[in-house]
Amino acid sequence: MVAGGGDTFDVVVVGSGVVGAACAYELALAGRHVLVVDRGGLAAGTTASGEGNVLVSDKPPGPELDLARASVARWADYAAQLSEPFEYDPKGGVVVATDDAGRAPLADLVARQRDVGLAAELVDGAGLRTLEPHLAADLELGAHYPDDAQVQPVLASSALLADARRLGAEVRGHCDVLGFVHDRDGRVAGVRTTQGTVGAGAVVNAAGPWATAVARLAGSDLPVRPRRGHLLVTVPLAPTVHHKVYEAGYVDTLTADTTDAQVSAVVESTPSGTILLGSSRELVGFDTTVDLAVVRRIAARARRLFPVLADVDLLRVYTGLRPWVPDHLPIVGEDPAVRGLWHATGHEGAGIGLAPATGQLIRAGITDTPPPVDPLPFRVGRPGLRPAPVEAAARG
Amino acid sequence: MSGDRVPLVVLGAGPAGVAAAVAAADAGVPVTLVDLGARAGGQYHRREPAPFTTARAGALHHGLDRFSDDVERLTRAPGFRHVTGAGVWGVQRLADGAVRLATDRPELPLLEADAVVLATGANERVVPFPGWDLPGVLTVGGAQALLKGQGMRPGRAVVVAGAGPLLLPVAAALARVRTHLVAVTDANDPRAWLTGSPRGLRPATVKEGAAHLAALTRRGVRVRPRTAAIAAHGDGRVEEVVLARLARDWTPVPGSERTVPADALATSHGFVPDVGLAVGLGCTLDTTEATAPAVAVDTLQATSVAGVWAAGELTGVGGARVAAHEGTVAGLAAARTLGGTVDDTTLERAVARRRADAPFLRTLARVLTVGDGWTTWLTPDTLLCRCEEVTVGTVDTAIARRDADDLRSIKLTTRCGMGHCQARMCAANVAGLLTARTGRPPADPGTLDRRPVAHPVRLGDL
Repeated sequence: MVAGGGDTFDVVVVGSGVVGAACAYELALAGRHVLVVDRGGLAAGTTASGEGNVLVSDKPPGPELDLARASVARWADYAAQLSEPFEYDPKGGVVVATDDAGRAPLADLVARQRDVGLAAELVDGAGLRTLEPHLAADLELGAHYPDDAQVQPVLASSALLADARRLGAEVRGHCDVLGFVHDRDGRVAGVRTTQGTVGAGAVVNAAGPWATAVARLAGSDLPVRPRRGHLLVTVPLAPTVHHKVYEAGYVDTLTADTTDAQVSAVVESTPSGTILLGSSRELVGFDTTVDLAVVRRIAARARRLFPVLADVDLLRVYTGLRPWVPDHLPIVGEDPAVRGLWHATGHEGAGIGLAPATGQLIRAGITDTPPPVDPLPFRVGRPGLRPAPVEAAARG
Repeated sequence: MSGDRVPLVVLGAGPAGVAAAVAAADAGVPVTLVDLGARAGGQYHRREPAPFTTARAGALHHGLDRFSDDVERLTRAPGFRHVTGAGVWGVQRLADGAVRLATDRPELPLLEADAVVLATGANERVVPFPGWDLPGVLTVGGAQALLKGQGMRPGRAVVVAGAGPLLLPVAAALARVRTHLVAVTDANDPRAWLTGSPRGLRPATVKEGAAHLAALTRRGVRVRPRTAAIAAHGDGRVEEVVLARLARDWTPVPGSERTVPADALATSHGFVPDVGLAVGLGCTLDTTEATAPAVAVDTLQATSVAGVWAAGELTGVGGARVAAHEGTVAGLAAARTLGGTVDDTTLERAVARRRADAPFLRTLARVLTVGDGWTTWLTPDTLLCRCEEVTVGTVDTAIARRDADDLRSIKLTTRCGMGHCQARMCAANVAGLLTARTGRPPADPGTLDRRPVAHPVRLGDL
């Protein structure tokens, strides 16, 4: 028990986005008594600002692809298990080379992915237009990935939280973490919140781009920074885009760490009939302003893939912040500096896709059971996370 | 990337916008007036398209002559530019404090201004009821637009039911063109107009109201107080309207329901400030009225954002006259900041004139009240968000099963407010329903008014 607080939980999860929700659900499945707190509404941050990507296609062989493949399998489990629906759609992905320079790297990526057993197929122009009849006529090379999928991220998170609650978890929205309670050895023993102090055997920091601030409250630090993105939403229309379709250059923008907006086309439909148009990546702090210039650039790139979009009305735009880390790998594991504090963040734009296996990793770590993939590449103290960027603190 | 740069953009050419433009132009500032309409006027001075003329426009329009004189004077002001038919779909505040506007006019995709006066007005509020989505049900403002813009009656047997100051003039206008009015009902008591301070009403307003009532009386129509249309029925279109007497809080009085035949129902319940573009620029909202936030302004109509002024209904509903007073203040204040010639007396007089509107606004607030009881006449299959066809039942399920407890979570889990109108129609009603269901106002008022794309724009025109 913690002085001044009535309630105690095995695990407190900070953040109710898809990563926090998956951690909570997996821990609740393992019999842990879990509390999820979020300073805002449920799943209203980064999770509410994405497309709902569950992608293997954009990842070269390596630890992130392993995590993605474990997650793809787990999303299929969730679709079968969870009580509430969340628009799970294993529609597959199509990657398109938009210029000559993009052809060789795409072919190379597909070859390496096939080497590790990923379902990936190069397709020519005719093949592309069979998959996507409205693609621009001059596109001549692409790749088809049947394992890519899509979920509605807020519904997915709330479905995970709803079933976590059925397993005994508690969820408190509009409950901000103000500080941590430590025991005599410095181990985390609870959190102080705007709704009182809560005792905890462990705390999971799933605060996405705000995870650095949460870590600092506990006396630790993380190199997580916000990376802004824009998404455009069209009016609903008859089925026009059937897969998740993006240009091959998208993979390069993932790792280009400039402050200028990186723009590449990502186009896909949703079950409501709208088409989502992405994407942009900018390191501009926590500014979520809509940049009209970026909106226009995204529209132009999307029209490059699907000229038919020129006559479609834009209905909405939203921005969001991805949790960026220097080496572009999620941070999942216990903090070596503050025992009892676990981090599950740094997924950048892949958090929806990687959430289930992240939850399984956290569950395995806290319950000391076998993990779904090797946890070592995602550990908190790894060399790739240093040096901590000075700029992040200044902008934060 | 950058578009034309101008000193001052006035956004909206209704009474507030035109008054602001005139004031700033008189102070020597070149004004760019941007509006969706083909002619100045906004919703209040809505007119038939230019090629048409109405023999007695004065019979349908109030104060039009003075307004037309102002518009005429503007066109002669140095540097004045009237961008007509231009929908501003996006706004952005740039690093140097300028405001960038994105329009749907391909020849003017982007426009940048050192300062802006927002005069984006208000939208009519319609409180939902079973059957409100049937063809034949239209807003009171829609009925007015049909009459003023097209010279058409909304139906052969019309019910006018709702609340607010638009009800009486539109019912009277329909009566004057010999529309068969089955019933005219006000959910509030119109006598509320007369219960406040006598300073709350100008003689002209009283005279106008009396003339409207007389027009109705001549046609044998009596305005029923504390009565509402709580349902509409019909096969494919409205055929019957259920009227009920209401308690003070708009809860229907049991047993008072009466079904009347009608082929049109004109209904609305006041106005909701259109704050979308102001939110896009980061302006602070006044959320005193949690269901219908307004842009917060000071006595000079300045918003919380430097270089951005707001005038008219988006700062709180007050009608055309108050809007014009605010427009003058905003135009003068913006002009002064931009180096225009504005003497203190002129500005002080304009501010005093706006301050003198306070008693009227208090009276208006009583007439505009929306009682909480309307949520009791909803059924689970009543539509709440018409664009995305989200029912009351779907929202109740999200509250019960997905812990949705604020506006954002309702939107994200039900699609309520994501559709074509971008929550203009449903925002106040979602907030009202959430308040009724959870027992407290939403934690995030104004969330549904965040609409970075103010209205749909063709991707090819971006």
